[in-house]
This record gives sequence, C-alpha cells and structure tokens, in this order.
Amino acid sequence: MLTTFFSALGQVLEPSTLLLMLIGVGIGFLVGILPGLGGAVTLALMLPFTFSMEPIEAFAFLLGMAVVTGTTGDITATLFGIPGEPTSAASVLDGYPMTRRGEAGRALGAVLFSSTLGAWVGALALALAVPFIRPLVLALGPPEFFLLTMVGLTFIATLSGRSLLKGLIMACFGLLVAAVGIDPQAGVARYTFGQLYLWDGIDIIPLVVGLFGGAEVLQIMLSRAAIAGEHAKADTGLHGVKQGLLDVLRHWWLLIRSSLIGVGIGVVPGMGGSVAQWIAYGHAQQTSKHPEEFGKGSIEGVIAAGAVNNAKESGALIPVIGFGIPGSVTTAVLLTAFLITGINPGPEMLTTRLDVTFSMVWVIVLANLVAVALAFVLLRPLTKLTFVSGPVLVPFLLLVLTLGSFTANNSYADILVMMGASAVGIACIRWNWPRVPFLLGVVLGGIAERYLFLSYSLFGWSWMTRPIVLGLWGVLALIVILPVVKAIRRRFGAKAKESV
Amino acid sequence: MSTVERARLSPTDLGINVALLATFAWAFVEAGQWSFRASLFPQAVVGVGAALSLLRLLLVLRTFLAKSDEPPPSSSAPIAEEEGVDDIEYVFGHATMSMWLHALGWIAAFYVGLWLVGLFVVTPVFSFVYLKLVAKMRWWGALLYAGIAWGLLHLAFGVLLRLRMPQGILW
Repeated sequence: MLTTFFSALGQVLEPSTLLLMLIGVGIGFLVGILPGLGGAVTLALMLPFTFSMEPIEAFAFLLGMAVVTGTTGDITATLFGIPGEPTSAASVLDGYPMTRRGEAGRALGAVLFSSTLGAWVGALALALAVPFIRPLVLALGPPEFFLLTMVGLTFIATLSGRSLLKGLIMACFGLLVAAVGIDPQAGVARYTFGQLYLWDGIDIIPLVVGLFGGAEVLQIMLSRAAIAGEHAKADTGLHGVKQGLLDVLRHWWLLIRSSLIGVGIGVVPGMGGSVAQWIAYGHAQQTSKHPEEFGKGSIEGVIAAGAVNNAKESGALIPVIGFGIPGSVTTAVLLTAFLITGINPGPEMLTTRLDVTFSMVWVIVLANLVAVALAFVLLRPLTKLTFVSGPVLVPFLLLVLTLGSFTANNSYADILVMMGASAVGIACIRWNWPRVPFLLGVVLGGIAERYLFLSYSLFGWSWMTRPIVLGLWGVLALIVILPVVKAIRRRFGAKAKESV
Repeated sequence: MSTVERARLSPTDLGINVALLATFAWAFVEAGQWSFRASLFPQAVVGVGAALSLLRLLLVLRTFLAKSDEPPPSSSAPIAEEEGVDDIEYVFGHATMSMWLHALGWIAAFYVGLWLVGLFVVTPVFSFVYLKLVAKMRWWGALLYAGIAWGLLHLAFGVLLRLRMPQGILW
C-alpha cells in the first residue's frame, strides 16, 4: 500500500497530469474568487472535457479545481465581505472586520494558510482511512450497496431544503429520469417516446450543466449587477501576511480540531460545507479564551473558518471512494466523473484502482499548495476582478453552457436536455424545491437498480433480511422518521406556548 | 408545516406538486406494459413518489383550508433573512415579469442564433450585441471581447482540442 501511495505521487507529477492539475487549479482559482460562480457548477461545466482523459488526469483536473475554490473563496470573503463560495460565509464574520481595520494582510495570510493546512489534514485523514474502509467495503455485497445508495439518497433528501417530503419527491423524480432508456436487464425501451436519442438514457452531463449552470447564468442576467456589488470596497494594503501565517502556527491545535470537524461532517452524506463551517466556527468560539472577540475580527474565527473549508472536501471523498455515495454536491458531480472514466466507486477504488485513490490525496495536497502560492503572488490585482460586471460574463457563461452540453455526445439534443434541466433548476429555486436530491437520484438510479437486481439474482428475496441490510433498513427508517418527529414536537411546542 | 413553508405556498408550488403526481401516475401505468424485470424498479420508485406527492398535496390543501389565528407572514425580506435564503432565491423571487422576459429573450436569441448559424458565428455576434445593449460597453470594448471570444473558441476547441462545434442550418 505504501508503494502505491508513493507511486501515485509519481503519476500525479507526470507532465500531462501536472499540467491538467495546474489548469484546474487556475480555473478553480478564478471561480472561487468570483462571487456568483459556484465551485460545483464549474465542476459540472468542466466535466465534458474529461472524456478523453485518463482517470488520474481527469481527477487531477477536476479535483484540482474543486479543492481550490474553497481556499480562494475566502479571499473575497475577507477583502469585500462577500463570500466567493457559500462555504466561505464564516470567513466574512471575522476576516472582513480585520480588513476594515487595516489588517487585510494578516487576515488573508491566516485564512489562506489555514485553508491549505486544513486540506492537508483532510488529505491525511483520507489516506489513513483507506486501510480501515477496505475490509469494511469488501465485506459488503450488492444488497448492502443497494441499501447504502438508498440511505445516502434519503439522507440528502432530508437535509436539502426545509421540506422532507419535497426532498424525497425530487429524489424519486431523479430515479425516474434515471430509468429512461433501454433497460439493462431485459432490453426494454423505457420512457423513450420512440426517440433513438433516449435509448441511451438522459445524459448526466447536460443535465448537471443545465440544472446548476443555467440557473446561475439566469440569476446574473436578472440581477445585472456587478458581481461584487457597488458597496464593496477593497482595502488593498496587504501587509501583515507573515503575521497571519504565524498566527496559524500559534493556533495549531485549533487548526487541527477545525479540520477534523470538517472531515467528520464531510464524511456524512448530505452534510454540506455550510453545515461544517458553522459547527467549526461555533466550536472555536466556545473553546476560545476570548469568545467576545468573535464576529469583530478574531483571528481564531478566521483560522477555524479557513481550515474547515477544504478539510470537509477530503472527508466527502471518503464515502464517494468507498461506497459511491456522494457526501456533497461537489462530490456528486465528481461521482459523475467516475462514471465517465469507467471507474466504479467502491471495492475497485480500494483494490485495483488504489492508485487513483491515492492520486486524489496527492492532488489535494499539491493543488492547495499551488493555489496558495498563486494567491499570495496575485492578491492585489485579483481584488479588481470582483468588480467585473455581471452582464460582461454572460456571453462567456452561455458559451460554456452550450459547449459543456454539446461536447458530451456532439448532439443538439443534449442542448435541449440542458435547457430543460435549466428550466427544472430555475423552477426548483424559484419555488423552493431542492435540486440536489433530484441530481443524486439521476446519478444513483442506474447503480441502485443494478445492485437491486444483483441482490435478487444472488440471494432471491432473502437479501432483504441479511444482518447488515436489516441495520441499514433501520437507519433508513430513522432518517425518515426523525425529522417528522422533530416537526411534530416543534408544532406541539409552539401550540403549548400559544396556550400559556 | 412551518411558518416559512406556509409563506412560500403558492398556486405554482401546488401546480408543481400536481404535475409531479401526474407524472408519477403516468409513469406507473406506462411501466405496467413491460415485463416484470423491466418494470419492477421504475414502478417501485414512482409508486413511492406518487404516494409522497399525494401525501404532500393533501397536507398542502389542508394547510390552505385550515383556519389559523396567526397573521399570514409577508413574503418580504425579513423572513428571507431569518431563514438564510441566499441571493439567487431573492433575485428569482423579486424579479419583475419584464426582467424575466428580457433575460429569457436574450437566451432564446442566443440559442435560435446557434441553431441558425452555428456556434462560431453566434458567439461573437451575440457577445457584441449583448455587451453593447445590456452591459452598455463601448463599441470597441464589445468588439474586442467578441474577437477574443471567437479567437479563443477557434484556438482552444477547433485547433487544440479538435472538438466538433454545433453547426447552424444556414451556415
């Protein structure tokens, strides 16, 4: 295993792979800097370009992009008070006040350095988890994997949005869309309406591009505002960066705790970075000797928010690699990359393709190192980018949407799928129906059906009573029942207060 | 149902619920024409989906019909802020009809243009026109942007990556 670990580094350092990683880092850098462009959206838009790549090259490109957005999103959060990514919101609370009082350099130095070290802690956790999840994964069979996909899907459905029912309904809708095409078991054309294009099913690429990218572009077109907003003012004094670096080393234990919180939350399918950042921030405040400074420019708040950002991405990779269950929206898109490159997440990633798994660890380490180095060099001119007017980006974004959809199969029909998915995505946002369970339903539908039929073929209906499967049925029931119980208790509590 | 949920209920939300229920019902009936193996998974999934959709529909209707002493919460910003609604939801919820038509019109223009003349032509033309009329850019800036967009498209995708680009029916 150690040999594979270091040979994976060699594969990542090959010129073509390294170049693709650097390109991904560059794109992720820009995406993270610019508020309004989401990391997961960009990942979806870049997916089609991985078709002709080898697996390690593809993941170096995509992961290099994904792991950097969290780091660079903190830059605008600190300089302008506008998070470049939703997961950088906690950095605003203390980074921006520090900037306003002339400590921009110190805040940026701390947040960037803590982001990098947080990523390394997460990468280490990912590498160390591999030997432990191997025997676990090898002990699981098709019945367990089927239930795990259902557990993951249900978990995300319950956490996305405020309505459990909506999340579950959208998950079922996604599973229905995944059923379109020639049935792999019996060769029956399902829901194809006589269209040859649909025999292969709905392609995931244009669907993902439209579902997330279409809504983002339309939002920019509707708001027509400068991305950073007119009120944002940048303090370009970048002194004190070195002080920020030293602050991170001085608070090394806080850094490690915040990173481990990120990894732990990231492992749980459905728990996003938005959850992880606030838990880590809250923990930092609770354990600080000066909790009253939080929210007013506490360096500890900056360090905690920076560290958790990237660590949670490594944690989210653990269930993806081990079980094929995405832990976040980003990893849901990365799961698509697995399918494109012909890799099956699960036992294969921990046995025959262990080199790909370890290459991901090295990409996380190297990509963050490169990104932070680049950030420190380009900090001053980068601040000006955030004032780019939204409408200026629109032609470029429409071009990327179109190319991203078309290049999947060189088919105009994919552009229509993208537009349809955009309409679904926009409707979901406008009327508060969650998109993520729908996407995961589409991604996991084929996998779930395959495992279901394998389970039936191997064990008959007795697969439903296997010990681990029974445990997972219990988990599934808990996931569904707990939110209902909480809602009922909340309603009775509100009624009791009214009657008092 | 929470206060915010009640505030967000609208005929369109109800319509989406009904549409999904109808879709699940249709998919269930359609799957009944296939063999057992082909229909098992889709029918199981849409069966669950239909049941959940129906349940939600009944809950929503009950909420609409139920008498409540609480004043109906307004749909203004304070609720959005308390519940942490992000910017994209706010923009979609507060854009006027003319803004929607304007944005969708431009998108339609781009894709109709794509269908007619292909990507290599529509990209610079759309860029120039959009930047001039919407972004209010100076003509030379818009022209430069359009030129760079065309150049990058040709260089990156035509020459380096050699990817086939969408062709138009006229060009």
